[in-house]
Amino acid sequence: MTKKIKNLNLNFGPQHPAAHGVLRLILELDGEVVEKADPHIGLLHRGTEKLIENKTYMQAVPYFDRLDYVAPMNQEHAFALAIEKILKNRSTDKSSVYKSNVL
Amino acid sequence: MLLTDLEKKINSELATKIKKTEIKHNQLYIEIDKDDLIEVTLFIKSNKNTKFRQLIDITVVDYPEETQRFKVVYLFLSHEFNHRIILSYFISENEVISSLTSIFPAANWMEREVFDMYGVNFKDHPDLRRILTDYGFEGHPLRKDFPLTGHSEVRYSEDKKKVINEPVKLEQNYRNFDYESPWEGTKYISEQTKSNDKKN
Repeated sequence: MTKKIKNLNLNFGPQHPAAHGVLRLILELDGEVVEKADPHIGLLHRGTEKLIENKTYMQAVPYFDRLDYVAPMNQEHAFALAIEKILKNRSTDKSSVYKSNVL
Repeated sequence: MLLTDLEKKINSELATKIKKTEIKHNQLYIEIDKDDLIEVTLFIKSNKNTKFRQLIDITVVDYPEETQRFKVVYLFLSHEFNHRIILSYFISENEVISSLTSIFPAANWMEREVFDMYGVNFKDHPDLRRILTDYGFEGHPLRKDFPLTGHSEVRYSEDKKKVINEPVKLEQNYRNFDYESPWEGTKYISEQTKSNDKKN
């Protein structure tokens, strides 16, 4: 007697307590081994770049807090450094200390 | 190795392939032709004096008024020499460009994002699908001619008992706060009130 074994296609998410946000995975399982995964990562995408294009530099800052809620100030810091770079605007020592303090 | 040395090195080794090099913001910008992409990337990745072995990002800048509308930009990092370079070339709207996935597997999702956001097509990409936008989405949101509010909005319909797509209806227009003189209201409002005063 032969047993037929089929791979199982499983939909994981978009809402799942282990997923830390919204993430949908289409998984192909062979027993407990994940053979293939097709992640659908766009469920939380809101087009931050496009929103920022329509704003001033100062108005853009809060968007960077939302990019990574575990380390929001790091994102803001990166933005601040990038803007200072393109404006060729070396910041004062005092503001550099402030920037290091919030990280 | 200094950035200027790197610039000289790349210019002498790849003389025919390089259109223009420039050092701006302490970074090296290189402009090439779209057909030379694979050769140039292979060179800067494998050459023992450059070793740009990490692809940081691929993105596009849209210049809708130009005939060669899109500027495709590649960012590379060399851990060995602590250098970053920015490689770019221009293409027009319906041009197909070669995929970098054979050299940098990380390019897979980056090129999917570029395809999704700008509608640029890649040749020999293993799985060119949309990546960030919703199922059944139409258009390419990061193009300059795509409106900020989008074309359709999603809501749950109590009648149909399902999620539906509708054209965008806004209760209020997009407004810009005027920091210079907030008490006068923004420009377009003061113009409206002026024209109303004339009528009365």
